[in-house]
Amino acid sequence: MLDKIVGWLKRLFMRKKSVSLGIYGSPNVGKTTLANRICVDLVGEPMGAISPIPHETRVVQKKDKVSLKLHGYTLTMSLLDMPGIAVKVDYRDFLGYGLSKEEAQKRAREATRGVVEAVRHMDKVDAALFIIDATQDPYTQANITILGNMEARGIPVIIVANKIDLPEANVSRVKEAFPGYNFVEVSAMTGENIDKLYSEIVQKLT
Amino acid sequence: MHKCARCGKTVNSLEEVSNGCSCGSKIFVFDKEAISAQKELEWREVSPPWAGLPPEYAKNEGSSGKSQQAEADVSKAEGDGRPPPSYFARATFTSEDVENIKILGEGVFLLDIKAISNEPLVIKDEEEVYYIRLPFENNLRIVSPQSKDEGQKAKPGQ
Repeated sequence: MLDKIVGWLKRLFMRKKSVSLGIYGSPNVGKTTLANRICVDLVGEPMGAISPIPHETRVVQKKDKVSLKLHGYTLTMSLLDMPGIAVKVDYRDFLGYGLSKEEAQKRAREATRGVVEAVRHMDKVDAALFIIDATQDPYTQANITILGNMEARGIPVIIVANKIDLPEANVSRVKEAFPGYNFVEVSAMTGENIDKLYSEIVQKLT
Repeated sequence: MHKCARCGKTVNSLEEVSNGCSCGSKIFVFDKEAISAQKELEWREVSPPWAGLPPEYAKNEGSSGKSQQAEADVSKAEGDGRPPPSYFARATFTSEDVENIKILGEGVFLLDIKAISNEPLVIKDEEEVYYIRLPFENNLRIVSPQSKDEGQKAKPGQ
């Protein structure tokens, strides 16, 4: 409890000029699509490549000096698009996408290294957007474990339920799974509710 | 396992015994020693002799001179039971590897002790599938479909 108060006071009085905002979540939940949406809106250029093949982002992508001006506040961020965190990486999952066995094994090795990098970066981020695919079951080992750890570290988190443009999206299921968090539902693909996310970021981090 | 009483040829199937040897003889003797040797070979396949190699074999990288010497030594020492060449590539950690535990075979593991004390636990199995244990305590209570029925709504940090 004392640690949390000290952490809160530190964040209050030793506020950095730039906030390091990590985008976390499982593979293929739309982290890079959201990062691209934010970067195009605020910087004018996308962050990285997207792909239907899981684990497209296998190294941490960083965009500095991302300025968000809202409600009279200016928040300058370093945006970090993390590789998807999974507890199992099986190269055979990539074979269905037309990759050869060697290519799939290489991708699996790089993806696993990406998971380790994403975990290491938890020590470096000031805040996090935790992306959950609203069309999928939110009760996954990775979701529960990572959110629990962020909470324990005192990292401010906004849960972002993504892909609400899809008919099978179930936002209330995500919200009920992780009550008590700042929560926004968006479609990174269409941009729906993205202003609500910006507003939440400014409220949470300024 | 049977041997032809005339020419000494070994036959392995009952069909060959009933049809007779290629030399024309139909008289065979049971070869007990050959059975023992076969069992020994099978035992070697189940329990690889290289499973208990000293660590210096595992530490050598790629095809370094020391590794080749080690392989040659094992080959000489173990005869037919020598480890396959791929064993030595797997029984070592290089800068390319992301895993810190390798499953080399049934009950045979290679551990990167230095790495597993600091890093997420990454296990690579025999089929090159990676399993990652996130290095976190699970300290978040959530509302699972089961617990929700019991009215156990939880908040982070509780």
